[in-house]
Amino acid sequence: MRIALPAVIVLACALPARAESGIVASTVRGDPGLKSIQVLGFAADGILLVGDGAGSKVVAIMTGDAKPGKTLAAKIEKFDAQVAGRLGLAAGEVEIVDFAVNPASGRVYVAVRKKTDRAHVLLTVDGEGKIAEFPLKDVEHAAVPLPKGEQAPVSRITDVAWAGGKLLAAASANEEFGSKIFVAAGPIRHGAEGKLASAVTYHVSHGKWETKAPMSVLLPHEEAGKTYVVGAFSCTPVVKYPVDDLAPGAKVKGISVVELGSGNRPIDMISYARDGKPRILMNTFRFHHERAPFGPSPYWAAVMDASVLSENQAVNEKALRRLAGGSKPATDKIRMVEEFHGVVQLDRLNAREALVLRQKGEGFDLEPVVLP
Amino acid sequence: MRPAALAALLAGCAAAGPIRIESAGEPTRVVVSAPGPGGLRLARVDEATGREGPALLGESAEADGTVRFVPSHPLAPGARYRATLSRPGRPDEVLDHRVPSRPPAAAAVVERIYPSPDRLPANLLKFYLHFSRPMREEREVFERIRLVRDDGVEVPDPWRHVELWSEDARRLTLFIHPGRIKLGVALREAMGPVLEPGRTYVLEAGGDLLDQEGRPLAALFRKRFLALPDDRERPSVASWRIEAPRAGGREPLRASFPEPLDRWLLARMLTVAGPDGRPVPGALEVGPEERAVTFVPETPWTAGAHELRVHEDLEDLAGNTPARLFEEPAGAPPSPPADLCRSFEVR
Repeated sequence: MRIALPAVIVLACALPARAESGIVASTVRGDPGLKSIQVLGFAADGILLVGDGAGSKVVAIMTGDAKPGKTLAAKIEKFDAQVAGRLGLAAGEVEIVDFAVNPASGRVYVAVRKKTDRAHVLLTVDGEGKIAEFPLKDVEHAAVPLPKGEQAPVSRITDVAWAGGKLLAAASANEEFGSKIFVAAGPIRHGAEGKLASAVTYHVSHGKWETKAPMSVLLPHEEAGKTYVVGAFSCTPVVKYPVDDLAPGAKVKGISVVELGSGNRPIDMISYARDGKPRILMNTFRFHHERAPFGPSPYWAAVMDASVLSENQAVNEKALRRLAGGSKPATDKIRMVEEFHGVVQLDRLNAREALVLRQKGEGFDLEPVVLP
Repeated sequence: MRPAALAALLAGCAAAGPIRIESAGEPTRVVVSAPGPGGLRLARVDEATGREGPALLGESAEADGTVRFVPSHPLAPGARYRATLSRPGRPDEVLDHRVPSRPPAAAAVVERIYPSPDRLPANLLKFYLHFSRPMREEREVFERIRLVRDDGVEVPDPWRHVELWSEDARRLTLFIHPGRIKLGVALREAMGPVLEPGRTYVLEAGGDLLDQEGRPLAALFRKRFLALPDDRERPSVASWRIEAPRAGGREPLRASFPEPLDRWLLARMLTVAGPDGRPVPGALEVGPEERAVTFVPETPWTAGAHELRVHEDLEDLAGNTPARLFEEPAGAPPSPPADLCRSFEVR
C-alpha cells in the first residue's frame, strides 16, 4: 500500500500518456491470471501494482482510473461484513488482505480473499462508499515474473513500490527465512523478468548485521536529489537503500536510521506533509501485545519527522531509537499516535487524511482519519 | 419442455410469482429473472436474524421484456438468498432460494509433519504441516496451533505471524519466531526462547483449525518431541556418507547425513552431475527422519566421475547452511568457504 513520491505524481498528472511517464513500456490485454493478490500499490497514472506471491509475479494494471475525484468522506462500519455480503458470503468468510488509494483518482482498491474457496477478488470503493468489483478478465497489464530456480521460489510478496524508475518488490519464500528484494528496471515490460538483489542490514535492537531477515514494507524516499527505498523489518529497524545500488545480483548495504522497538512487525508506511513538514506514518503489529502492550490493540502506529530518514551520520549502531528503555520515549521526533490504535492497514487518502482499516470487535471499519 | 429448460429444472430452480431462480450448470451458479421493466437484486439472508445483507455484485440486463441478474461470484452452499423484484407502481416481490449443501466429505486431518524426528534442536526454525484437504487461509491459524510444554504450560506466542501456505493450501510452513531464537534479541531477552533444551513439548493442532469449507479437523493432532541443545554449527557436506551406484543399472545413489536436514529444501537443492558435468535427470527421494536421500536416474548410470552438488542455501533444522550459520556471532571472522560438492565414482 505504498504511494509513489509526490514529485512523481505531479509529473504524471502533467503527462497523461503512460509512455511519457516512463513507467510502463509494453503491455498486453487480457486476464493477468492472478493466483493471489497479496499486496497493492500505486504508481502514477492510475497504474495499480499487484503483488501475486502464489503466482511469483508482480503485475502492473492500467486501471484507466486517472480522473481526480472525491475521496471517501464517511466511515464504513463493518466494512468486512459489507464486502462479504456483496460477495454473497457471511461476515467472517472474507479477509481484507490489503488496500491502496489511487492517488490519481482517490478511489480505493481493495484486495479480498474469500476464505471459502481461496479466490481473490479486487474491489473498489468510491467517494460515496459504494463497493464495486474491478473485473480482471480483460485488462491492459504488464506482468513481471520473479525468477525461479533451485532456490525456494517466492510464495509471498509483502510490498511493491515504484521508485527511482524501478519496480521493487519485497518477498519471502515458503521454505526459507530470508530477505528477497526483486528489482525490474523501468520502464516495465510485460514478461521481462525481475532480478534478485540482496540486502545487508544492521538490526539496531540486537546489534548485528543481518542478511536473511525479511523486509516487510517499502517506501520511496528522496533525499538530496537521490532516490532511496526505505524498508522496515520486524523488530523494528527502518533502513534506507539507494535505489541505484539495487542492481541484479548486487548485495546492497542498508543504512539503519531508526529503531522503533523490538517485538513489532511493520505493516504499512506512508509519507505526507503536515504544516509543510514531511512526515512518515507507520502502523505495526505488536507481536507480544498481551504480555507487553503499547496500547489497547496489538495494532499501533507511530509518526516521525521525515528528517530522521535523511540522517547519514548517526546511523546503524548510533541510529535513533524511539524508546529509551521500557516504554519511555527517547526522542520527540517519533511518537505513538493514539488515534491510530487498532489500525490494521493504512494508506494516504488525500493531503489531509489517511484511510485506515481498523479492527473493532469481530469486524473492521474503513474510515478516514486526519493525518497526525 | 425444451431440453435446456428441462436441464435447468433438473439442476435445481425455484419460482414463485414472477421471479425465477435457475441454476446455471451448478447449484452455486444461478440466474435470477423476472418480467421487466424493473430492478432485481439478490442478497444473502442471515440465518440467525432473518435480515438481508447488501445486494450481491453481479450483472443486470433487460431484454425481450425480461430482466436478469447474474451474480459475479458463486453462491455459498447451504446458504439462503432472497431475490427482490422492484417494479414501478407495484409493491416489491421476493423469492427465497436455498443453495443445496455440499455432499458430506471427510474432515481434514494432519497427514504428516516435518521435521519428523522426535528429538529436535531447541533453536528449531520451522515445521511443515501437511493436511489431507485444502485448509482455510486466515490470520487466526497462528492462534489455533499450540505448543505445550511438559509441565502443561502453553508456550506463549511461539510463531512468526506470516502465513506461508502451499499453492493448494495443504501445506503450512510454520516458523518459530526468529526473535526468540537469536541470542541477544530483545524479544528473546524479554520472553525467553520458545524451546528449552531438555524439555519435552507437544505441538497441537485441534478442532478450531478449519478446512476451506470451515469444518474443523477430524481429530486433534499431536506431535511430541524432546528439545536438544541448540545446533549452532554449519552442516558439513564432507561428513555425508555416499554409497555410489554401479554402472549400467539404475540402482539408487544413496547419501546419508549425520543430522536431519530441511525436508523441502533437500528436495530442491541437491543435483547430480555426470562425467560431462551436466545434470543427470532423475528422481530424488528423502529418506526417514530427513537423514538421507536416494537418487534414481532416468537412464542407467554411465561409468565415470560424478558429483553430488549441494546448493549453499540448504538448511539444517536450525536454519544453518553449509555456507553460513543462521546466526553469525557478532564480530566473528568470515566463515571459511563452504564445501558444496561430493565426488563419487560410478564403476
